[in-house]
Amino acid sequence: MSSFLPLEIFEEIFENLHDDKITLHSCILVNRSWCITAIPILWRRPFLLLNKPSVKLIHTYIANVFDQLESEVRLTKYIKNLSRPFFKYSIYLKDLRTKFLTISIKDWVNGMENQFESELEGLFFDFNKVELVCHLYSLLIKNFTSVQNIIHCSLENFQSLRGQHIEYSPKYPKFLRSLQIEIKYDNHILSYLTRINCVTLEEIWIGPLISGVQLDSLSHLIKLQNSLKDFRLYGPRCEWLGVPIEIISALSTQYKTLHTIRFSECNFSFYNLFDYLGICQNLKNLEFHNCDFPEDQATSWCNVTFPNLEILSFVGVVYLDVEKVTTIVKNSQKNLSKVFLPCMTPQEDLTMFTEILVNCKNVTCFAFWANIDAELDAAFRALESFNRLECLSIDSEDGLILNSNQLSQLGKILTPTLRHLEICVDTSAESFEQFLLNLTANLESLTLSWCPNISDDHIKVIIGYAQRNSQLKYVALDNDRSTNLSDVVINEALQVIPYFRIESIDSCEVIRAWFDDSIYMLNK
Amino acid sequence: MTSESSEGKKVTLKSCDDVEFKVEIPVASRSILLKNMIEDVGETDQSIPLPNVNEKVLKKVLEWCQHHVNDPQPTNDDDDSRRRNTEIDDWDQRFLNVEQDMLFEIILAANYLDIKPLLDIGCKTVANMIKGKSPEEIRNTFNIVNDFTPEEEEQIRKENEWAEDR
Repeated sequence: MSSFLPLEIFEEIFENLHDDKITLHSCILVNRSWCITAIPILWRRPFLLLNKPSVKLIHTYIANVFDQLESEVRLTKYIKNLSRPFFKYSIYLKDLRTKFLTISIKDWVNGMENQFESELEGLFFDFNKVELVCHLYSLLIKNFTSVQNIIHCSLENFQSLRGQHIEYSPKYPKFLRSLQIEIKYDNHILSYLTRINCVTLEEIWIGPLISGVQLDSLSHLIKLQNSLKDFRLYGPRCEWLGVPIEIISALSTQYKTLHTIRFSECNFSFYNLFDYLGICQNLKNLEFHNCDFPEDQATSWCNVTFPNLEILSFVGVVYLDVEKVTTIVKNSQKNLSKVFLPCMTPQEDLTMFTEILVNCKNVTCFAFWANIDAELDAAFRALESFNRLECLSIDSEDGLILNSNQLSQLGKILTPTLRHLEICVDTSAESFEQFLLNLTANLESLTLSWCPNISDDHIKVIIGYAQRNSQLKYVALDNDRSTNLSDVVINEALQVIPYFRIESIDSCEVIRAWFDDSIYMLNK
Repeated sequence: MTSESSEGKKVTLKSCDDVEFKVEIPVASRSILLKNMIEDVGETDQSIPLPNVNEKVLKKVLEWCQHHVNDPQPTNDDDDSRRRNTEIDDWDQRFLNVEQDMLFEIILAANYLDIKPLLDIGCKTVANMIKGKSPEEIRNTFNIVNDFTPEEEEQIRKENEWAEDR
């Protein structure tokens, strides 16, 4: 085969195995030409393929900077068993996860120390471990010259490295398109990217923030970009003054290209958000998860429409009047595929259902709050027109729990396309069984976020459903009210349902998982 | 010798072993190479020579083009979506259930004729044949000679040891 197919076709074949490191590892050992072709694919995203730190991985990367280390006399004895690798592996890296990089380096240095402890018992070490970790980090990161996506975790996250700084290269990186700060906001990397005039970012995801953090560099970095497309910010809502106006203003400079804005746990005080964001007419996804809008935020929203919206989310948002939401989606109802409505007063909800939702025919994900029976009826009428519905969440502020009749009515409306369902129920096990028997859809996940009188019999009904429907992988029950369940039944459920959890449920978390198609990650 | 397809405007393709195929233009146009040629040349009675494809393979490729004649043309910007979807539909699976030599010939022809969807499923089929196999099993499957020295093989294995971790 090697002589038969050209290398470019090998590349195509191996691309199909890009997320299968075990098979790619086999491929590189087949012969030289397979090796040369598969190595760049295997080494493109090792941190993501492993999804954990790895001393073995970092050992090869460190061997790659052997020449630079050799010049550091004080380090030579620790690296005597490194040899120059066949490939310059670091140049293939596209996706960097600095949390795993840092832990791997720390583990490698600790391993070295242990090795020398046994070999040179009683001798003191002449390096400062923290210094060496930072030195190696700097060296390696300078060699990742092709990196495109960084999932960043600040050194502040590691107790032994707090207060340390990484010396970044003045040229690095040329092709960076995505920066996600996953843990501990790090002004250091943002000010570095601003300083080197990094203009290539298409995605900036920040969060979760700690309170009192300085965000100056973030607004500068946003403004610098040539074409920012996706911005997400996760703030500490309760202990925070709010998203600074500079950030919102900076976002408005990216109005031509921005298609996604997601704020989680944020609040917006002292300014009218849409005075700035109204200009972003290409927005497809506008998401507010658990955010606060001040009650007195005036009427300036009322003229803002986003004609290209596909996703609109106000999960966990209160104090939004219906007029604002109606205006936002005025010209985009036909495009909307995911709609998560804010919690409003009952009268407003009714207006919302009748004014907006009857025109949203292409909705696949839908979440709403219903506090009185009349709202639920109005929502059910809207649901009847959603014939492509995949995800549905019905929640309530004032304790509206579906009774037998309502559950039965819901069962008749739901389409066969439904995959994920979150509801609050208070019915007998028999009614619940009838509901599941009538369901034309094969649910993949079922979340009962409030089920005050749930019993072993209900769980048995769910087990029966899981036995009939092998698609069901995830069931979550709120544990505050599920304490009377017997261990025997719970164990039986765990046998049949791969992801079965009983614990306090955050509805927002469930819905966010639908957004990101990561419902099964919730267990972890 | 001439092999005819169905109705409509036709173009004549000539394999490297001099066999002519009269093919409807939409079918031939699944190949970007042929589509561009037909657009450049316009209507012609002359046959288009395909020096890299023999009769047996061309017949097979045209069978695929005929079956997929109404599929949307792939766009340049959906490289990622092509790769994300590793499944091959049932008809294509049966179509590619052929001897290994023929499979490689189809891949080469798809590459030469610039038929991306056929190239993709060909490559996916080979990738599925590789999946989960050890280096030795792969060499046996495709009759490949190991040209590493034992020292080289050992070093490559060591440098890439991380990828063996589950």
